[in-house]
Amino acid sequence: MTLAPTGLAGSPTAKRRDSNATATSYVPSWLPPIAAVGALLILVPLVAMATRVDWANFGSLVTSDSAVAALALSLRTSLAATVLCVVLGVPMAIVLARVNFPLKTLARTLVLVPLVLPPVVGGLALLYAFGRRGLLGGTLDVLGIDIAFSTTAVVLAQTFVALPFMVLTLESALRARGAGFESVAATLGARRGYAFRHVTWPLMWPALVAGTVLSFARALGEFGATITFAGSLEGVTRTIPLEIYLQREVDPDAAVALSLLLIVIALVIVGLAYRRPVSRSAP
Amino acid sequence: MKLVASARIAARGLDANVTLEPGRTLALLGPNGSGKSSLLGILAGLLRPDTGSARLGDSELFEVSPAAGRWPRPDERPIGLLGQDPMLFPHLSALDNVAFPGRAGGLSRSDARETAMSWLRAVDAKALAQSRPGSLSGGQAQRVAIARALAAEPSVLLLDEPLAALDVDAAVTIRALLATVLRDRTAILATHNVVDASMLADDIAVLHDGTIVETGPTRDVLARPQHPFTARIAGRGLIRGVRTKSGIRLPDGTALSGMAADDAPTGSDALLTVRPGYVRVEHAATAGRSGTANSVTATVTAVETHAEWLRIWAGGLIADLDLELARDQAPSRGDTVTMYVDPAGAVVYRETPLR
Amino acid sequence: MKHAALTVMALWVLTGCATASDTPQSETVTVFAAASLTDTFTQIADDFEADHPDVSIRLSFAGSSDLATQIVEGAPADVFASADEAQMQNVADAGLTAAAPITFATNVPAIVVPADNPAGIESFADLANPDVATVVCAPQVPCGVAEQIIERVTGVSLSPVSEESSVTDVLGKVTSGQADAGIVYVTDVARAGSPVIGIAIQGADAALTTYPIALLAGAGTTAQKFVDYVAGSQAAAVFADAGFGAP
Repeated sequence: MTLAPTGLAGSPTAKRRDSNATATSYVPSWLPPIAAVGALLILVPLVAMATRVDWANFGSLVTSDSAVAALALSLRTSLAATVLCVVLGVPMAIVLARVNFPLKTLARTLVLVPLVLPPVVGGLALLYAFGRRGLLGGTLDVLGIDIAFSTTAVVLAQTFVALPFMVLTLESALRARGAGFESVAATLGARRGYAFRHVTWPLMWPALVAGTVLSFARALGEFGATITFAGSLEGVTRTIPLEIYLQREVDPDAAVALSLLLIVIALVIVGLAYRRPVSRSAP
Repeated sequence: MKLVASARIAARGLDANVTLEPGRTLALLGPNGSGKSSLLGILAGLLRPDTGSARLGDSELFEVSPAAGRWPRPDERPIGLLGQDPMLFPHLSALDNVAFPGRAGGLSRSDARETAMSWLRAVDAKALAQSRPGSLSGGQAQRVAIARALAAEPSVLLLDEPLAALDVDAAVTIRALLATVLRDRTAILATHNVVDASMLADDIAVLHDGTIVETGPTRDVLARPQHPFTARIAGRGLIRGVRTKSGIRLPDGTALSGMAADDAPTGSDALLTVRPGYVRVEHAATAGRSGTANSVTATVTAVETHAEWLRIWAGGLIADLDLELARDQAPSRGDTVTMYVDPAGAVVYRETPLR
Repeated sequence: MKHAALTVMALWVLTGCATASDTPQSETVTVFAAASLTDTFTQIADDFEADHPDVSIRLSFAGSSDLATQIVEGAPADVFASADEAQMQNVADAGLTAAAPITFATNVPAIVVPADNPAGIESFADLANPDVATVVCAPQVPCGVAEQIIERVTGVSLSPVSEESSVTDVLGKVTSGQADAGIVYVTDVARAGSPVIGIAIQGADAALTTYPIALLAGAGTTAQKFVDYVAGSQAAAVFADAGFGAP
């Protein structure tokens, strides 16, 4: 065992791509059919939705005033939430992956809780923390900050549910890679800040992109926490999912059209970000 | 700058001191698990000992004790470390890899690259400057890694089995490069390969089960080992006994002749060493010339098979047997054999163990 | 071999669970009812089952529009009780009602405030104060329609901080103290209990909401009996107790 640490699995030093390797997949023949069933479970409802769309009126349905307001609000808030996820999520992932501290397992579990909480429950929790009568409500009031029924509340709700996606993606990647390169950088005289900017960050980039996409998609689709914590007012807090929820009551065609729009947006985002499979070597 | 260090890690069974004279290369020789990497890690600041201290030149490098602790981070030490995995930063070109220490130290991009270029030239890797680490072969990558480690201008360079991951050709080439690089450099080279030690090191320290069992100039240690382990690494037979006028006498009374390397008095503890080329082996049963001087009868403890010859270990001696001549007579483990020692190749000297 | 046996056993247990646990003799009537009818209909169903021991009423509560959508998409219901006439119309338009709907209760909007009434609301006009955080139902849902009528009738225009899709969400904002006031139905105030107090709206009758109930296509005579029961006097007492108005 040498202490000088080993590099990424599939060390860049040794292997070159062998274009002659046969494309055997080593997959047992009964696996793909099951995978196909799983894929159908996802695809069939999407296709079914597409068949219900009132195509003749699709254009006007998705460009109505309320729809445009909801879309603009959704994009603004999801972007803000994603930025917050990056700003907060990167340090969290790094600390969880690299720093040893007491009760670390507990901390990691807690950080991932929003993943399994029903979003409405998340919204309630936010309410009890930041609401007017919440734990911090009094403090915020004194500071003159009123989050209730504001766009800020929407961003908070979206960040709450999307943050674990960022942390999980980044932390897995960081742990898989190990701190070998940071160790090398230190022996070469790089201080921690320099190593973070010039080694950790660039090598983290693919995972960061993946985490950002997941967080954005999650924030865009967030409903339960938003409606419980932020409320629903056109242009202020009524994001697309809330608009769809409302349109269900009166104009199912509009609801379906907007739903399809949301699906298409999600597909575009995910497709753009995952053009190439996330490779293990850095870009 | 002279380096004096000692460190102890109970959990790993490590308890070692090293002294390194300035401008000299010390080979830390020992098998995997003997503590070589741990020791280097401690010097580099990557592994913290239970207790230990080191001085580099006039200043203290680190001090760890129950009372106090001064444990600078790796980036705060003038120590460089090169391992068997080049660990080139995959997102940077070879040139930018070598420029990394300069940039980290505050140089501008152009200055750092200029320096990097000269280091690449020094290791004969100028053509690789714009290559990505992923496209380099093992030997090429290690070459660039050497340039990068040197670019950090360390006071002491630590090398942890740098050739272990290279194929034969690359190892030969890189070893030659290292010979040039290490010429006037203060360095420690950890290796289990005796060729690395003999070609690259001025001094050797032999590490066995976490402690240094033998230390001294390379030639002396490899030619006249004190410890059986060192003898094994050096590929030499070693027998202990008591000094006689013509050689040594073994505990069972057998007398062996050899050339005296020093004038230690008869009766003192002595060692005899001899290379396999000067030892002949025969099955004890068929030994027609039993009773002839300079032989040891012993049980075969190991046999190493090569295409046309065998290497036999018995009684602390090593002998090579040409299969062409004695195929039907080839001994195996457990057989009793007689090892005939040619006195012209046997050297007798004082035993002076470290512990 | 062991795996195969376990799989078969698991499937058998699952199918066993899927079949109804009702004994062959009892009859089940499936009733889809609006969420605001939860308490009343549960009581009424219990009373009906007490009178008809061999009948089991299976209740499903949700928003009227959700229920209507499910019925139109083929959900197996025998009776539909809606809080919204428009949703009942949707079901009728789909040809799924077996008979004309009967109105069995009415409701009017009311103001609901947290128990300590922090904003000191006394009337509908007080809600127009910009410092009061009022939450209402969106105009697209029945309780929102009712609220809009009140605004028109009283001439008081509100700027709510949120327009929710359901009464439950409005109530939630008020009980948690996020909102100073909300507009819900008078029956919802009673349901919410001690965390809130209700304030009557003058002229609320102008925004009367009617609750229709209808027998659905393919339902049996027992279901018809249940519909009759809901429209009858015994059920009327239950509705009145909860604060509903007479049909």
